[in-house]
Amino acid sequence: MEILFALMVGTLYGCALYLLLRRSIVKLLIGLILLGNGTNLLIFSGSGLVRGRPPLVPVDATSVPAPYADPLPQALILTAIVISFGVLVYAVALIYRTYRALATDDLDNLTSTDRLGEVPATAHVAVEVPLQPIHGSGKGG
Amino acid sequence: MLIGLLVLSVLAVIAPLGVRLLRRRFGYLAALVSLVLLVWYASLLPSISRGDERREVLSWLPTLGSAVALRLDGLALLFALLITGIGTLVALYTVGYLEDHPRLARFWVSLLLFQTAMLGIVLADDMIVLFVFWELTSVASFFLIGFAEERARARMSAQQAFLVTAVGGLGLLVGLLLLAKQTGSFRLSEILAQGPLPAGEILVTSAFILVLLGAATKSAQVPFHFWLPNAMEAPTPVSAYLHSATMVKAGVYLLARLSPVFSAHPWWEPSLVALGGLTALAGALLTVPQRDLKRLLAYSTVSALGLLILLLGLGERGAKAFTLFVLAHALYKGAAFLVAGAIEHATGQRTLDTLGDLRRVTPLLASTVAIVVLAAAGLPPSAGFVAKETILGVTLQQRLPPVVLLTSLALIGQTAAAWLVLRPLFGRRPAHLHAHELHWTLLACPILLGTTALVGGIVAPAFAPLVSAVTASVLGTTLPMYELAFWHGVTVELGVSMLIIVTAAALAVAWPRLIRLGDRLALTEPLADRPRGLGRIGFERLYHTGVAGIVRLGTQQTRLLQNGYLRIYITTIVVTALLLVGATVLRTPYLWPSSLPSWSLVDVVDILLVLIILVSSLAAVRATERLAAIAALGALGFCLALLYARFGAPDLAITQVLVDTLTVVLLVFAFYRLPRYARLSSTRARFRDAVLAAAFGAMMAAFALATQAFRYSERISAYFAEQAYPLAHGRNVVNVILVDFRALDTLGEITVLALAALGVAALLARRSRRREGSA
Repeated sequence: MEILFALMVGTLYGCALYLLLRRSIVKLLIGLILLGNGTNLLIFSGSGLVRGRPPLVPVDATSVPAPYADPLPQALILTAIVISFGVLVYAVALIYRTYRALATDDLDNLTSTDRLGEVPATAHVAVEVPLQPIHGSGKGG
Repeated sequence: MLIGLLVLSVLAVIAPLGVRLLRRRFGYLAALVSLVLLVWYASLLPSISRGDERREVLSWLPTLGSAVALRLDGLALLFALLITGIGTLVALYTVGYLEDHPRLARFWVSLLLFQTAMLGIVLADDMIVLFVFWELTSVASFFLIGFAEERARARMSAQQAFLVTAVGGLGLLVGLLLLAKQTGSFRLSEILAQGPLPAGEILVTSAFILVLLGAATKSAQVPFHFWLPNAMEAPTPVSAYLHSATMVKAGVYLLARLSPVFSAHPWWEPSLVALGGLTALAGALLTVPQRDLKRLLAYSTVSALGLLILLLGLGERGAKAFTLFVLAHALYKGAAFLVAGAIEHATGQRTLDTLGDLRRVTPLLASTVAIVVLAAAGLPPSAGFVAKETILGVTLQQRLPPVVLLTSLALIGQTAAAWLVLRPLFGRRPAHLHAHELHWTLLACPILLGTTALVGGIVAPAFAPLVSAVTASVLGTTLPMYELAFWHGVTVELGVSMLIIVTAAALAVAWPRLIRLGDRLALTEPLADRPRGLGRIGFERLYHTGVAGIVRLGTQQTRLLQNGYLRIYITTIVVTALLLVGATVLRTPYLWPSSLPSWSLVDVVDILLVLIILVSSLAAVRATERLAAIAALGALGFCLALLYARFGAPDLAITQVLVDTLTVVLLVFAFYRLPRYARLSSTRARFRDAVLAAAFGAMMAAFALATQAFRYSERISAYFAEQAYPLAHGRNVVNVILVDFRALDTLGEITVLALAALGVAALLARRSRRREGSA
């Protein structure tokens, strides 16, 4: 079973990376989700697999009878799942705003903010509303 | 000594407040503090001159073997007297010079910081402490040169002086560390007690070269001399104090201090004589063809610094002349700068072309200039005269014709610089030249300093014990007893000295011709953008090329690395990981499938789930429609949840199902507003990425397998499983970990979610407001 898990981890990471390398900004989102799932699986399988023995204390005992599935990675993954969802929601909102403001979904057109001393080439191509600086005062209209 | 440093540094800290309360009168307070220190150091003269020492140690960095150790011996006392004495006069002078300048507070903070650091350099007995103070003087000098921040040239000069001295400072640090490694101590007194270091050691030679580099940059030796004339952008009190009397002598001081350690080295004498001689000559040659009074004096200072280094190179014979020249030069050159500043303050002019007939325009200032020039030209009975006689005596005894010639030429240049300051008193009065009243300090300070220098020769015999003590420090021997006399009778030295004075005067008279020659050779002005003549081969040109090169390199590598393409960033990271992690994974001992006991665990449902996960992740990649990708993601998430449930993680399964549902719902809603799937990359790029992704996936799969070979300590998990019920009264261990054992982590998680929610709200709120605005 460990080999199957390793296979899944590899596939998820490979697919995630392929999507992260695409220029289409929406594919980036899908890649992020796959990457999160792959990482969770990696942590889960890394602590050893125990079938059908959840770390629950039976009613008539005060500790978990061995063998049991390791509770610590589970707690970590649980946190990770929730955080990934938060990241995803934020990324969706950000990509949405970016698309509305810049009217492009091509990541290769979004290079200017990171480059040395360049005026964003896309600054003048706004479709809906003129582009405002990211840290602008947001006065509206 | 510690208290003195402390008082000065406290004064530097409260300077902004003091300047606000006292305005220009804060200068009187600073002068008073310097004066008190001067009196204290002067009171130590008799005991130190007898060969005593004072030491103070404050514990600092004990684990590194370093401490704030201070030591006052003859050499340190000589410099401490100069720093506090000239410091007093400069502080007074500033009252009249800067008046109520709007940036007066910054000036005082920098100047007092400098004074503290400079005293620290000469008192330090610990090399780390010495280095820290050394760099502090560079920082203070940077702020003082760039004081007139509105002038581009001042900013450029400040940066140049800082960069040049900082490069030397780095070399010095390494040199001092090598020295500490060789001798096993940071304490200078302990190193000096070990006597000369073995010359054959490569460590000692490297340390010597690096220390020499540090000293040469600080003391403006060729080829680093160019920063000093440019530093004349600073206010004149700074030029007099830092760039003639004290800071530029820090390099000379350091070489004198370490001379007992290095002087036996075979490179010591040739390198110091060559470096110093070259600088003395270059400075002297560049002095005369200058128009600007301050640049003129600056080049003459360069020449004097070179002469000092040359004297140190002569060893035992040069030590006495060295001491006398340090003292005399600080007095007369400081006075010369102060008087040049007074001329500029009175008339608004600073160049020899635009000044003339000052003896009629402002007789009082003119007589001050005359006193200072007589002292600076080395006429008897000045201190400069005695120093010059001693220098000539040493070099004539040496019987090395080149050294005698070099020294004489350097002295001619420096004396000519002094005579040139006299030129503004005579000649035709330029139109529009008028002088306004001067604050009394602007005249009193140069008169006091100049008179001291002028009568210094007569009182010289009284200072013989101090000179002996300094010589003892420089040579690292016990006290030699020196006789100092003002008058040696009619000797060869006297003849040469008079010849020098007369030749220099002739040069000063012939200045108008020389300046035309200097113009033709482009020596007269700081380098313009288009160099011509000798400016084309100047070392300053090299400096500018170097700085521009560094900036260009920085720009290019930033353009290369920070190119803005996300996929290139990711590729860089992944390729690095493939190389580093992949190499490690390959060398890991695997548990081979035969040794894994788990094949028996696999059943049909598992295989089905795994197959769905594999297929749906590939489908998410291959999908050409957004909805198809979302559907694939949904299937993948639910199968993952089932796998979690089957392998003892019901909580994970529940969370995964919940989050997966939410994700699908969110994506379906959001994707209507997001752009359609587009195929933007070329087939070739897709193929390249696919190869990279496959390699990365294979590496991660190998990594996942490799982790099976290791087990982290299960003590923590076992503790949680045992104590969940007794301690936290919970039967679900995972829940107990989250809300009890690691509750703070969960709080952090909730905070992250709240922040994400706030961010999303902010991003979406902008849209709705805009819509209202445009409606």
